[in-house]
Amino acid sequence: MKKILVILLLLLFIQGNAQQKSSVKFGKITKEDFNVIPPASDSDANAIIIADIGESNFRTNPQSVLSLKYNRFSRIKLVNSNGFDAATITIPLYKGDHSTEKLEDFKAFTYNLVNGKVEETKVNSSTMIVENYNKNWVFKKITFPNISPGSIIEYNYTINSDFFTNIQPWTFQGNYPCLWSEYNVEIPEFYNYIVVSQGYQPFHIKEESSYGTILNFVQRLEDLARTYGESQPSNRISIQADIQKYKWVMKNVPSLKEEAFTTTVNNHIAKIEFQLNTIKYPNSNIQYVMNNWNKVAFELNNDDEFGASLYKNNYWIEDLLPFAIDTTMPKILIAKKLYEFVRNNFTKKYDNSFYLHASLKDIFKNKTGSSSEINLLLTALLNHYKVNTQPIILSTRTHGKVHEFYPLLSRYNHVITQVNLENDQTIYLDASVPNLMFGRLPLDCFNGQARLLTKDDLVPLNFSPETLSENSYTNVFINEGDKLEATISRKLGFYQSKVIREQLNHTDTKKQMNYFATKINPDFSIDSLLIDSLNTINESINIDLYTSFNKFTSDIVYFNPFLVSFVEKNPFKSTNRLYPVEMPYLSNDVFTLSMEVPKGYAIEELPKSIRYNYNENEGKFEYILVNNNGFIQFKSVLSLNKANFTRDDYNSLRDFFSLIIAKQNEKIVFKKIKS
Amino acid sequence: MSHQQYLYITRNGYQVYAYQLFLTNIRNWKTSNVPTKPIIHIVKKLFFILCISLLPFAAHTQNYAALLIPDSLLKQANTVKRFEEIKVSVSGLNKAKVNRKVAYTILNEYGNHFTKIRSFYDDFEKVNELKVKLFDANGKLIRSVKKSEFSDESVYDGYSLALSARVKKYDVNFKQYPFTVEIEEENEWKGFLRLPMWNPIEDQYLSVEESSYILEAPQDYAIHAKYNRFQPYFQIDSTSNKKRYTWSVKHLTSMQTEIYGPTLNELAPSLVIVPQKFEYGNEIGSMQTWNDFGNYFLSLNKDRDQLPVNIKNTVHALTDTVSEAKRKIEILYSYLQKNTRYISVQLGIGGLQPYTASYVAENKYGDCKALSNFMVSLLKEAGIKSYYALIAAGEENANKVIPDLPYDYFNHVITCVPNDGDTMWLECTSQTSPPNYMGTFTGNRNALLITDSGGRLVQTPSYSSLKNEQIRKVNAAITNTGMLILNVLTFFSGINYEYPHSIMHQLNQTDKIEYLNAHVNLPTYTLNKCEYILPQPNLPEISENLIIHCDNYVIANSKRLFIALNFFNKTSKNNFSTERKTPIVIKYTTKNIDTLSFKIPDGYDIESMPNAAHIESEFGTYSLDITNKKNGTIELIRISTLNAGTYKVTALQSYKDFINKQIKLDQSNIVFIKK
Repeated sequence: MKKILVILLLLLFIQGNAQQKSSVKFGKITKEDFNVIPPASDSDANAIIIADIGESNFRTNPQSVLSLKYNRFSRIKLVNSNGFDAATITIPLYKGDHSTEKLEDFKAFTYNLVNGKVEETKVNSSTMIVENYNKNWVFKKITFPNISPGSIIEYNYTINSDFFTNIQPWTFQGNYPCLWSEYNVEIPEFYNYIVVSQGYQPFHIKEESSYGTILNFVQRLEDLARTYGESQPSNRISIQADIQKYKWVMKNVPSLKEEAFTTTVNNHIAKIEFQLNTIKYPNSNIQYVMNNWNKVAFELNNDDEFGASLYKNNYWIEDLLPFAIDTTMPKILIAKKLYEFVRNNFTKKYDNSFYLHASLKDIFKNKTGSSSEINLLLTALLNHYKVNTQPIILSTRTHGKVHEFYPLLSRYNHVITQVNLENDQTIYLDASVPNLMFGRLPLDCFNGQARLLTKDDLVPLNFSPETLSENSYTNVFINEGDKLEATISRKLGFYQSKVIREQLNHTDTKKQMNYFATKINPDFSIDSLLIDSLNTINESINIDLYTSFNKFTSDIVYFNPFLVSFVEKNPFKSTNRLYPVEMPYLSNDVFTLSMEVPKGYAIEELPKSIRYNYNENEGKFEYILVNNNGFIQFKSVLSLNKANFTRDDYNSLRDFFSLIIAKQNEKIVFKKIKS
Repeated sequence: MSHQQYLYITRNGYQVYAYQLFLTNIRNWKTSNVPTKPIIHIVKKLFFILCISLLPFAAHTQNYAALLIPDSLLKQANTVKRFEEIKVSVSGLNKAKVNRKVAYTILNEYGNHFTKIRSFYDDFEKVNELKVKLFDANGKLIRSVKKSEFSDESVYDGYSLALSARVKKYDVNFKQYPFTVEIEEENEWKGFLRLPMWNPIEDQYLSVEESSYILEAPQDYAIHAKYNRFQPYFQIDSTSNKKRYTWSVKHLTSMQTEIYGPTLNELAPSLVIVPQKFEYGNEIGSMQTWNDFGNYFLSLNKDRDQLPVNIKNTVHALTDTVSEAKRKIEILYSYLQKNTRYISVQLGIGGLQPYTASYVAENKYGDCKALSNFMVSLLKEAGIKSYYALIAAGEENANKVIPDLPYDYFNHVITCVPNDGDTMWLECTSQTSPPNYMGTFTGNRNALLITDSGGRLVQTPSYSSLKNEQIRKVNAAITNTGMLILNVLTFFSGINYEYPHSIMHQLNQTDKIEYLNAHVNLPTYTLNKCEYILPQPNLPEISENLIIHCDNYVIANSKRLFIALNFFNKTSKNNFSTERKTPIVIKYTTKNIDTLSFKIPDGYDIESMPNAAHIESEFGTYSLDITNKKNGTIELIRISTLNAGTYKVTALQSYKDFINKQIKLDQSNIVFIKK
């Protein structure tokens, strides 16, 4: 008994002191290490990252130049053959104009437990494959030999890099659960980095300390060429410096998968990134690498690849524009005309940078550019015709969130155009999206903060999905003639219309009928249809479906009045969720139906009417069905007054949708009147 | 450029397929909407990738004004091929220049894929010239693109660790329809098995104004040409040392494939030119006969079957005491499956020549060639004769090999063990397939055995209806809390086994449940059990057991209870056009038997149930029988069969009737009412 108590106390003691170090060391493995169990979050993981430990620090390289040294050690247990993907690794190396990152000291082993003994297989580095992916990236790839379910693999490598504006970021979370993820970073005090972290996982350890040392190196200013342009003569210096030490550890990190209503899972994985902010060598002036917003605004405005050509005299416009602009027209009409011209004639090419890669004139001539280039061209065109416009930089939803405080420009990928009309009216334009109405933005732009480039600042704006609301109305009248004829009229919201338009544009009536046939109660067949505004992109679409159903003949008829469902299946399939639910807009859907009880029949049973509020007024579902002397009136409403839900809301949101789906399947029962 | 057109001109590769890929894709079902699609997608992409671009040629100036296109070519067309000239100049067995000049007029956005220009090359081929010109509707030149403006990337096929293939890419990005894109290419080949195939109609909805193919070769360069489904204009010009063959066509109208119809490859005209001799990777081969072609592979594989001593010992330890040959084969196949995995590395001649058996023995991985060669070596050590076998894998390639035209149709390698007339086929890239299983991927087609005396064409096994079965028993009951419990036991065999087999092996328990949750057709339910069993591991058979709970199935306060006849096996609607042109193809003979037993809950009576039904047709049969048993259960038996075959277009209406009747019956309910 005493013994047990002592052990218990000991255990408590151990737990009380947070484990400071991983016991996992490269090359040191025992058969007990094979008994690793996955964290509860991923009890049937295909692979388990036992340890993933990284280190970044500054060292002088053989040429006495201060360079970044990144070391990574990873040990992974392959639980079953579905985890074998983890046994192929790719190491990307950046290639600049003057130098390339170098991979050094690659060592790797496969371990198998054979008859109770650990057997190791050394990975032969000659099986490493080098792929020159493109101008800036080289991939080194290797796959582990001799693996089978239960194997443990591990590798360790170093990357030497001259590109020290970007310390390697660290991702704590991925496809497989991770028992111990650790990143150690040492930075000389004269480099000041902004550290940006994200995710919902707690740190097991988060520490900062410092120690003093002397650094002796050759200052090679071309390392900063990307920031400062031309290289300069080198200069050997010796600096007494404090080194800042950081340590971050996460334990038992669950794997993360992309689920419905997610902008991008990259917004949610646990991760740390670094951006060089300032450099201050002793006895020299501080150099700003990352600027404040005003400075960035100044640079963008004067950048040949961004703002420099937006406001100058672009005389070529008049030569190339195939029509003349009457500048005495109201500004809004000029804006509309030019917007439509660009939208209809320019094709977007895929590119995630918001800079210009060609002159505005060439973009105009070639009729193609990135979405940002197209909108920068639009900005220049409008300014040329004296319509006051400014560019806005933002990051699209699928690209990820921007940082609200720091000007981390690499996080931005898109440009849109703001038009400032008289009387303080503002219009936002995105001409890179085909079939988009003048004055509207695509859903992908509604990703929170964006920045408007003024003469001397980048002014924060907010594009929230919660400012968008999609309303749809579906009205059904059922009339009894030779058949039961149901007229279904649907009016859709703006973005819903756009989706239909993209799917049905240029299709014939038959295709359209097939399309809607799958969206309505399958008992009804579509006889004809009318789509209003399919090609008029400025209007919401109205759809009239003329459908029919054979007259009731059997003694009992079961009839589902929900001819068009709100939701077909519950979009929330997982039983739990590790990150928020991000819907593209608020919504309000209304369905009504009126019909007379068919002749010769009486109502035997009606589904019960209900009203259900979700989280007070964040959502609402109504199902009201009444029989007024043989006249059935049915109304159902689904509204969501919130677009972003926290992960705590997930279960109740899922239940809310289950309830709607169950209710949608209920039927009215008609019984033949016995004569 | 569509993917299909180049199917036949993949020169250097049996790298394309891994059976595993076929199965693995299910693992990624979440990232795609349709779980079975990506397989095809990747495979097609690969063909596209390996496609050998054709090259530019004679100075030919054309007027590309869209107005000049004859009306007949605009019908059902998104693209018109205005002009095409493929010129192949062979100067030696391993030397050729391929020039292609082609102009497409793009009529609308559905023709846009022709504006994404890709030119592939590798160790055996280089791109000498590459030019693109863009013309507007009037035929006026508006853009001219040089080779240096193409991006250059390594090819990523989705699963290979390394490929030597690279691609030059350019996207035209233009949308002022109609417009014309002219592409000129010149490629130089340093070794080839195949000459480019000529497929003037390379895509659906593409019509052809003129297209020609020219082959220039030394007098003694023997070829064998075969026309499929057309008779082009043909002429030969001879000089003292050269022969010049010219084939050409004019004014071909567009073609469309139809649902359940032949593929475009089976409908469109093509010309296959087979060189009687070729040289690739310093090895001379001949395609005069299948036997000759086999000899080429025999010499490529020569001496690559040496096993290290430890593996030899293992083979003997595993098989020496076993007397029956079939058992030995099963043991060694199982040894291969447990100890190796599929990793694709295709560099240079490695696209055709396997890595040695000792390489596989050391690393425990390889591609289809390496693993098959290893398997043959293992069997040889055990004294069993087996053959390396080339095959055109993939459901769409079942009819690709033309027996009387020896040619390189293949993209995959398997192993064939004659075993004294009781032949067994082994898919060596799968870790889970039973021995001798050749399903939709490799079954029912010709394979080329590489025997000691050369190549021999043989047929792989096919499955009859007795083998393609799905037998399902559902036991359903309602608890007194209103929950519906379904116990579903299904036995799958033959080709039906592939899908559940991939769920069994490729998904872990969490993912299985999540996957089935997303795919079972019930509004709200939980899966409480899912279990897969292989009743006989050496046969393509699998049993699935699901237990499903639907909470609150009985609607509170409702008098009635609805039980769908058919929860799981509904005939699906398909949209047949009324103006069908091509025959209806049913690929596999199958049989489904569904039994539902439902315990009538206490306090309920049957209110209504459908009548029994029996449908007979040339396409198959369908029957539904319902019995109200004395013990208070209702039993429903549904049997449906489909007969493989190609049915005339005139049978369309009766086929539609056959399907529609089933759809209707599959939707019916049994309704119970409270006593």
